Amino acid sequence: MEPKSTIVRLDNRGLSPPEPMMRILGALETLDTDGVLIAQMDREPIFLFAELHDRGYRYTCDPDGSGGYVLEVTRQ
Amino acid sequence: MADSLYANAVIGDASLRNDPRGSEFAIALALAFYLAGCTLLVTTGPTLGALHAFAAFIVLTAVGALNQLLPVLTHAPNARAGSISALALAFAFGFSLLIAGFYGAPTFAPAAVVLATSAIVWVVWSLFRLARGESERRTRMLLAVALAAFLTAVGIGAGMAGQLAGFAEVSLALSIAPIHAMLAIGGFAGILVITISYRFVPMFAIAHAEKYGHWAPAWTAVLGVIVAAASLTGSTIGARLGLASVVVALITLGAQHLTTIASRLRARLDVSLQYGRVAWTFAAGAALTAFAATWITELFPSVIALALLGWLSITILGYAYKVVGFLTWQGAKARMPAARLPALGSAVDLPMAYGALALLTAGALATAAFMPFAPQIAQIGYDLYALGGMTAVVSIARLAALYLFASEEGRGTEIDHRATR
Repeated sequence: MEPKSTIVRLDNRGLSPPEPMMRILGALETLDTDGVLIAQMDREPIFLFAELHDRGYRYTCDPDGSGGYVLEVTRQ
Repeated sequence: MADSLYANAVIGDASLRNDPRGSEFAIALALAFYLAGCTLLVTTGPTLGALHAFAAFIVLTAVGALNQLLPVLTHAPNARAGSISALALAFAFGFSLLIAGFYGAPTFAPAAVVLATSAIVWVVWSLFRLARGESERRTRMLLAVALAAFLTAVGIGAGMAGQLAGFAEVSLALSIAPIHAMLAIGGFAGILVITISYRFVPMFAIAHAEKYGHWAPAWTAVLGVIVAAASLTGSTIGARLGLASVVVALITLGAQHLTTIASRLRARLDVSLQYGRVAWTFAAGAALTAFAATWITELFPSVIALALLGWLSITILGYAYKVVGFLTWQGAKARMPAARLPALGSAVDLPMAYGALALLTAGALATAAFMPFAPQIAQIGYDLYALGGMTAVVSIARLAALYLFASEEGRGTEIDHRATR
């Protein structure tokens, strides 16, 4: 049985830029190799995507159905 | 569907809905005036007509930018896209009449009426929106100061236009021109750029906003502009004290921005902040030159060149890469929610953008250096600057076109961010 990967959850709703992006990048610093970061966002963090790509992360960002977005980040 | 997706085109809380189409229209008009300013600079030199084309660029950018930013920064109420577009058109018409007047057309009087009316409507409306804001008290206060300076500058300018139209002695218009310039450039555009930079720099750099809570330099700049404007035609000591305050404020602000950038989490400095670093150097240079000009009056044209062509225009063009990309990307997503769009991080043509920055820098420096002491070779500066300005606008337009004309099966899908899934 494989060990469960760590899931880090962030609620970035209601925060002003650049706090959501800073919280995500800060949390990724301590994320396990097989960990997953899931962040609730007010908007699609389009300026974060290139940063994640450059740092070697994979991600998805989809509407959460209530006007916000859910960002999921893992290591490549 | 489109409206709900457009509504997400905000830099902040999703509950702060704003329609960016009015802002897009105002910024497009602003860039058209910037191109006109560059063309006039090359073909007719640094005339008052060319100067006011650049002024129109700044005012129209401010109309678009404030419409987009007010709800986000201050939780102030939103404006309808049609209202902003109508206001932008009125300003564009007024500035066109004013510029035509400087080239000999009998249009000073209608220009004064249209610009004064537009300014009153915009300032009163914006102050009303600011007053209803729920947060960012210091941002709102600084923006209110900038708007008050704008209204005063336009009031003086309208009076000057009336004099140029033959309603009074032209010599009176010339005597108050320095106050008009100080309020327009320092009080309105300068304070506006300073205020917006307080939010944009940490946002673009991804750096902590807490380190950015030092507002004293901004208020020192406000105080300096007020003292300098009040003293320019009367007290040399007062003008020097005011301008010295502005010098200290701008150097401190530049140092704050550099400290913020040094603490950034973003791996690579983006194009907007690269432009910003150059612009802040021009800001300090403009303030220092203004201070020196209280002794060497021939330097006043250099102050205008450093402030208008260097500091303000380069800052605005730099921020435009980010803002225009953001707005048009959101517009494309609104039209085609499932489209795989080119990633914003790789959408700017960097060689073109940095080539433009190099030309703008060289052109503004050459203009400032040659205009007062070697006007016979100052054309080199105008040409370099205009080439840089046109290249920058083409670069920004190319970025916008990438998203405005994107299709579901368009080019660039291979670099869509979703491809990294």
